[in-house]
Amino acid sequence: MLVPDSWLLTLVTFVPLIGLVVVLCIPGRARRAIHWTSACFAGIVFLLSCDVLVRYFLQGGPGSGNRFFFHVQLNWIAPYHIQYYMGADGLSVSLIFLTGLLCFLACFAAFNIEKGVKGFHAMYQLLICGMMGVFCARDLFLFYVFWELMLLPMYFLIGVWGGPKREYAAIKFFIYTLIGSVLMLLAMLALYFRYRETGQPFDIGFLISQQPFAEALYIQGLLFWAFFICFAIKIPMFPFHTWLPDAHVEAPTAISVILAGVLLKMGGYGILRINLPMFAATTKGLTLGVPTLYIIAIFGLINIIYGALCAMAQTDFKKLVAYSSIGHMGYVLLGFAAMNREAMNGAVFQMFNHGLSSAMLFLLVGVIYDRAHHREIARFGGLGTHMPRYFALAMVGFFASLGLPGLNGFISEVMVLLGAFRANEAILPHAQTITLCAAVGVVLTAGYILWCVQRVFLGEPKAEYQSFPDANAREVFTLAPLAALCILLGVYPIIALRVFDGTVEALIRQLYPSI
Amino acid sequence: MTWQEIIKDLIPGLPILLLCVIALLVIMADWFLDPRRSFYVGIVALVCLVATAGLLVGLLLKLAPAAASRPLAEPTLIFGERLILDPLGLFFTLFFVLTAIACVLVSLRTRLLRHRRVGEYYALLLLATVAMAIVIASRDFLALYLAIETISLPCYVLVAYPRQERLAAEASLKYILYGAVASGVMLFGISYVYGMTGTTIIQSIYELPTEETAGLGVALILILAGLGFKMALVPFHSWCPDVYEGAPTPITAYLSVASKGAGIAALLRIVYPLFCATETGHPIPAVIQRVNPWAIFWVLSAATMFLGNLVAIWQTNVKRLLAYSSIAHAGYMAMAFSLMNREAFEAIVIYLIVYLVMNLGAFFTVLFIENATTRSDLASYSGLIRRSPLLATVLIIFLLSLLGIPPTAGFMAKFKMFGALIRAGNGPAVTLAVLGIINIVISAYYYLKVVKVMVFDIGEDETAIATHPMDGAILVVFAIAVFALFVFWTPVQQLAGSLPLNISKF
Repeated sequence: MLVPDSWLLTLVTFVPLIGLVVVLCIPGRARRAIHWTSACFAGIVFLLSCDVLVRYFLQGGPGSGNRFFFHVQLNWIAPYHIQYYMGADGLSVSLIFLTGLLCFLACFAAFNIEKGVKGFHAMYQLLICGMMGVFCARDLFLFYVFWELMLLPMYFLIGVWGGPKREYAAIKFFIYTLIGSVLMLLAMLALYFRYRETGQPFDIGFLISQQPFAEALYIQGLLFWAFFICFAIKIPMFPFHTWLPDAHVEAPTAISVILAGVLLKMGGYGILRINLPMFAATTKGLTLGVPTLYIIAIFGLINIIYGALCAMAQTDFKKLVAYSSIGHMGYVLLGFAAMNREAMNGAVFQMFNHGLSSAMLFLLVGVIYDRAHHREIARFGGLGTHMPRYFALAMVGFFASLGLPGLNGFISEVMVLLGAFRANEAILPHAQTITLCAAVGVVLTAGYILWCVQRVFLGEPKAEYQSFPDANAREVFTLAPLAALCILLGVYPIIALRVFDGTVEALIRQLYPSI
Repeated sequence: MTWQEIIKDLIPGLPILLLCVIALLVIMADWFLDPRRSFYVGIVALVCLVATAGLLVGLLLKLAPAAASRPLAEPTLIFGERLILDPLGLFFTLFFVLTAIACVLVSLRTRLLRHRRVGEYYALLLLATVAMAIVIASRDFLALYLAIETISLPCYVLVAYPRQERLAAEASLKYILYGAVASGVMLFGISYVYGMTGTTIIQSIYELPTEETAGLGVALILILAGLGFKMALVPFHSWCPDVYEGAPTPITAYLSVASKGAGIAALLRIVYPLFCATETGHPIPAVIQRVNPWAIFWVLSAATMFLGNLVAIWQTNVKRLLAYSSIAHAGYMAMAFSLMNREAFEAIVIYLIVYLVMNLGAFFTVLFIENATTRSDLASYSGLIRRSPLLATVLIIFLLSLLGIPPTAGFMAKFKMFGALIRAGNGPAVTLAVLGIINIVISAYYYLKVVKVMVFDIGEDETAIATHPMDGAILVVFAIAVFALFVFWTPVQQLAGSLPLNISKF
């Protein structure tokens, strides 16, 4: 369009900061003005992210492997060789698009915020900046700065505008994520001092090519697990998942959407971008006598089963969706562990799909919470009768989450399960057993989702809900694009798979050149 | 000494001399000015201090690069080789002068000093600053002791300055008693050094034979008691929360930065040869290796960090909370002394610069809140974001910097400090780094607790707090400095790198 390639990622990351300043200048009483200004800036970011996707296609991105586009590389802190280095490959592009889309749609879900609107949208814009920066950064220090930048806005967004236990949820989220961040800081410092003389100690691409500490696998193992724990807390992997139910439930709707839709993907993104390629020896080898990939697969399996079982036990609608997130991200871990093209593509696609479907679910919960002011599943009933539009969109969302064939969730789950089943025994021992157990998770997922749908939407309509208005234009506007994408990607998933297939294939070829 | 020698010695010592003259000038100004115009005494002090700071910056810019380029540069020694003047001394003197400027500026704005004779206040503050400048310049244990005492005595009085307040008097008494014992113990340690070496020059401890290990170890630990007291290292920290809580807040701010800086300056002078040894390749004397100061500082820094951070969690008074946070930061700074190499030296310099900005900023915000509400307990901060968005926002910025979150300057300091530890790479250093990051996470809890109270809680009193534009301007300058130091990391790093560690005569 109008901007040169090298400016594109800078704009997509820093336009929200301009939005932050503009929002701060609007007087606090002009609530509608602030809402629409923030939505405008989120819209600009969304358009820029679409531009990123379109240009990626036009420049022959799919099929170019893991080549990076839209480079910008400037010296920032010269004594430490820290650069302002941004770039996007297929994986980044897909997540940038997801972030732009969800931030735009969630902004409309935030229109019912009444108090402190200025602060809310200021923090929201700062959050968008941090998230985009993480997906664009090619310099490890820059990645870390953007990663940390998200902590504070989330703390305030959950803690001020959230539910009854918001302060507890906010501080829990902050401290959990901070633990991961400081582990990443130590690992980053170790890498810095190892490669300081080369002049590129923070360049992610350079570090991948160097395979740090390949000669001292003990140290490489420590670094691998330091990074992994940081990303695992975000995914969230059992047993570092306990922050998620609290944070998701207590956060306001828009923030739950962003949390589930984008922040969880950062963990997966970090593993794919930094953990697996940079420490290939540890990835392919053993940790304390057990293959590393096996450990990851087992934890993925635990996520799937445990998440599904916990979801089934929930009485709070939002908490059920939160635990379903834990379950879905388990497929991502399983896919990563399988180390073949099908499974890993499935895992990345699952990240994208989960972003769409869980965003839909949280928006749906938000719609009904705005009307009923409670989220107890047992008290709902027969909502489908009087709210047909809402019911239709809810069906798409819930069945996408369940993995119904025809919707996107099915494709990604099937790819992960098939790929994991066919995983090379030498790479991932007991792959077939693990996959069979994970397939049980599909049944469990169907169990809790169908049960939830039946209790909430089907059955005798209850008198207290007869007067509820159907989903209004704003709510349909936030839900319909996601539903459309779910259906589109369920029927024609190749358009998405082509985007990040290159990265995945390049990673597998880097780790296992002979296969 | 002949007159000519004395004059020859005074000229290099011009900054110290200037500070003495300013202190006396302030006392004289107080005599001549009307008691109702005591305000102007502070202005006189401020103007003269700014001039001195300008002089120091000029000297530093001129001398530091020159000294770094000359291998084994000869520093200037004056007063019978008891005092040493080198770029490190200039940097620390500038540090103390800047702290004094900030505290004088804020004292002009504090409610408690209005309508009083304040000549003594500013004079004592300046005398303490002079003494701090002598601390970093001292090459002799007795000069060091004299300087440390000269810092302490004005501080004892300044802490008790609001004579009618019981809390201040109690704090001052605790400070006096603790300080007297600590300095007595330090003097005892110095006497050991004299007994073993026959002289009180600091460098002489590096020329001791190996048999004196036990004596040197005891002497160092005793001296460390006195310096640890100044720095608020565990276990010499118990005075810190009470004194910080009871003292008038400008003095608390001054103590938290300048007293800690003076302690570090004194420690730096004592272990300077060890820092230089890694740079110049000088072998470390066997007696020092057997005393193992690195291990001593390892234990001190770990204990200090943990105690400071863990006890801060329970505090309900913001000044006490910040006092324990200062103790924890002393622990982070002491981590560098467990390494004693070039990286650690630069880490301390950068940490001090950043600490000056963020800690003074935090205490000044507490001061202005106290000016308006007369309270500094955490409960009174409820809903501050609505009562005064400016004060709450800048306090949040300073607390986040103290925590060490990018993009604030505090992150820069912690990055450098942890970097020095990881660079060393050996088991103890990495363990200390891991303990350090555990402490960062622990400290997140109480820093965020203050943020939570300000932003999330509803206060009983929701009246707006008006901030004088001057107060607001001071705080905004500090808050911008917190971000500016992060963005302009390169010049700060270059400053730290330009301070030479290659001086032959310590």
